[in-house]
Amino acid sequence: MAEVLSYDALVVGEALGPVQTRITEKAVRAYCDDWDDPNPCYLETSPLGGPVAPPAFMAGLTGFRLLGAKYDARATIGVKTEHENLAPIPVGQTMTTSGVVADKYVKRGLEYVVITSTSTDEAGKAFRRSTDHILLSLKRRPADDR
Amino acid sequence: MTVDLAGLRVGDAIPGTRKTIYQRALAESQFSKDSIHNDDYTRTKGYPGALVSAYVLAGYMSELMVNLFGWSWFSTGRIGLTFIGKGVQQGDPVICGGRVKALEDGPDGRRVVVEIWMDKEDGGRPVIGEASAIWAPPA
Repeated sequence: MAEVLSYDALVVGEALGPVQTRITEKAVRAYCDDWDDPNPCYLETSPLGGPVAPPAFMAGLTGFRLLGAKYDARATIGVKTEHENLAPIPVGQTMTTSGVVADKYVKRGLEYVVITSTSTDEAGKAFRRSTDHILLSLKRRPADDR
Repeated sequence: MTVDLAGLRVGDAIPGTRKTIYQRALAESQFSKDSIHNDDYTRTKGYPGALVSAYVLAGYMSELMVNLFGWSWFSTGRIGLTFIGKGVQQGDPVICGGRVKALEDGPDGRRVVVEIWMDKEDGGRPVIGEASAIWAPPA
């Protein structure tokens, strides 16, 4: 069972993951349906030959998944996200994401954590680097504890 | 669709997209009483309803960049987004747009930097950010 996510328990430098996701044709098709984005590069052919995953596939979720693999992170909210695309990744591959708690901070009584992560393909080649700023919940710290 | 970037100038608007926000999990799942995806809870916190996840909004902004930069986006694209205000709710019609902020020549070619945003059609700008990619090899 995941630990309760507590700001005070989060340790800057703490490693998170790895988490793995198989990029199936079904998952990519669901992405295209949900985002109404039927780009042929995702479903048919791309300059790489076969279809590739949408660049944002799982992108904004990696920080949450890394946090959620260890903690009960159901009340979290994404407030900032940054991604650097390094290469396309073909549909059918399994992606692996590892990360670290890069920072944590309190702003106007709300608690945030910063997760940096790298996603790699099956050969171990990095195809995306990400940074996510995540609000732990909408609950504010007591006024005398800010 | 890929835009011909050769004629772009700083200040030019980029082609936008119009979308109706959809998050499958909000349509198919129930969320705990302290979840930002719970309508009742988010209303007690001053939001108009359950918040659509940031990763969903990032997907819409990424599509805008694929349309602009094409295949280059997959290997040279950088994007930074901030989610602000009252967020976005399921079914909201939105317009994603942007404007060229800078053209930077470097060893890998010319990097086009764009200021980007998502506007709700009924008002408000819940997503702001910046993105860039290389569009041409060095001369």
